[in-house]
Amino acid sequence: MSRGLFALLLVLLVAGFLASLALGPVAIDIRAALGAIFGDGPEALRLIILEIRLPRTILALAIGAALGIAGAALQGYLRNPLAEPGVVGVSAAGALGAVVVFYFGLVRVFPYALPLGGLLGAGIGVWLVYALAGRGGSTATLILAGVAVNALAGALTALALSLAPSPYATLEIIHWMLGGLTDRSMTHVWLALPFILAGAVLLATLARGLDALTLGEDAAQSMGVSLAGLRLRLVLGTALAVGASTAVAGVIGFVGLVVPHLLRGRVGYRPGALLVASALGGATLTLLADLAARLIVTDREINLGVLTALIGAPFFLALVLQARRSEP
Amino acid sequence: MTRLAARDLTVKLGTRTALERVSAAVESGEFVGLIGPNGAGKTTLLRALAGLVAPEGGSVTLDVRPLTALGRRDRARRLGYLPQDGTIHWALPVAEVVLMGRLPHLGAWDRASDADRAIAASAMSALDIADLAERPATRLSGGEKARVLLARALAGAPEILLADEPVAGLDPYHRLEVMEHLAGLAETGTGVVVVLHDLALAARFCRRLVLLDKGRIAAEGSPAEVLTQERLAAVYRIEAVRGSHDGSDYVLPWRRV
Repeated sequence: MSRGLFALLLVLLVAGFLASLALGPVAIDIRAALGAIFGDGPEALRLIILEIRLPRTILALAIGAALGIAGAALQGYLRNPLAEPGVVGVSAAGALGAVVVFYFGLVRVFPYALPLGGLLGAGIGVWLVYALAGRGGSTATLILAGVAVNALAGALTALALSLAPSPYATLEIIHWMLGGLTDRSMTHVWLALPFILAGAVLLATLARGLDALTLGEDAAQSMGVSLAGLRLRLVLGTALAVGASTAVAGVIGFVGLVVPHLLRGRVGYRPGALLVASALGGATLTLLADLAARLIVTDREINLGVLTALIGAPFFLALVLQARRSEP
Repeated sequence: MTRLAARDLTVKLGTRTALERVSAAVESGEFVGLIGPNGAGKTTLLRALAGLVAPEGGSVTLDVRPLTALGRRDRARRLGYLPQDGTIHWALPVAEVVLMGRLPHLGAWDRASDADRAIAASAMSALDIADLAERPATRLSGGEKARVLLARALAGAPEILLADEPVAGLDPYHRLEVMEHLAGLAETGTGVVVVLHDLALAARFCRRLVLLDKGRIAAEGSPAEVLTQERLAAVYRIEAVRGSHDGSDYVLPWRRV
């Protein structure tokens, strides 16, 4: 990634971060907001910033980065620009993992059961996608694998929903299906952040291997890349990053599709260079989308996952048409 | 002096035995053609020599050490491998694709140095593709792509180069160019093994031929020793026209038998 692009993405990210702290039902001066983080200002202000906006902002940033880098990694590994945690069902599988943990009341026993459930679900999801569409399979195979994994995870989540013991449980499960950052606290940040960080770092180490995979598996292996090691890091890294994200925020689709697509040309089409760029771009896009979800309708909030799907699905459609034209 | 040798190699692909007790070797400065009809096991033997398939029996050694005992990076630096019908999955500029050949020589977090770029550039000009440097690799003709991928393999400066049908899809001019270049590479000390379907090119350029048939070695030796009328009939089921021109022999497949 060139220095210019890196600087530009960083500036956008900081701007998004500050805007996310300052804007909402009540607009807050940026300096006052930053002061509140360090304990200055009136009680009410500190409450809004520390209890509501800061956790939400941190989560949007971390989850966006996780989805961006996981999308770029999946695309590089499967050598297909349509791979994305949401589209291929990894997010839905992660959400299912969290729903299962919630449904059986494991969260009350052990709070980290939630991200671990998401991680396990997402891990199984990536593994299934790899088994169905790995080895540079065609776009059609990949989409079919995504349909299958999404359908399976969706069906099991719907089962939990229809057996939900109370209206409260129903609402919680729907939250995972729709995806959003409403009412997330610092507890959620501490639950998700360590896993997301570990996953993102693991995925960032794939750069060299993904570059080599541009020339196919045999060529990559002959250049010293361990395919088994690469696959293991991909599955683990995606499970950690996407699993922890969906465990606290539910399914937020299409970020991992749109961001790498927008940035690919700017990093010279190198799948390795796309990783960190997509993490930065994903964080920025998710911050902005969450801001929009807060601000578009004034009396109620749109779920973030719904908003990203509304923007992302037509984008996905356009990409499918493009892929269909280029495949004979 | 480097010597890559397969001894008593047996390879199974699923339940099918692709190679059965095959022994073959290549040394620095040799130009070996690996020939045989479709499905004879040429690609499997080349992949086994590159360490890409685990043999059922037998071994592959580089000098005296088994390939499996070599570190991945060490092996990647010493053995170059050019797969058949290589695809380039992203629209990288051609120069970046060729530069990837330097990967085995870079540390985990190194960037390609000016020296690496110079090596990649000279591989490109050697194959007549310097003017394609900025072209997206997904927008190349078949012949251009074949030369770009060969340049990638050459950029790694391997001691032994294993190339699977490097001239497939090339026009006569570029077939001759690639073969001349590979022969030149062998003259300067690289060991070269090429899988070839074109018997005329194999006879004209390779010093030694290894003829595979149904997973076994049917013959090995100089082109004249290997490409006899009887063997072409038995293995390839063809009859060839032969003659000599400018002091070297040629073989031209003529009719089926």
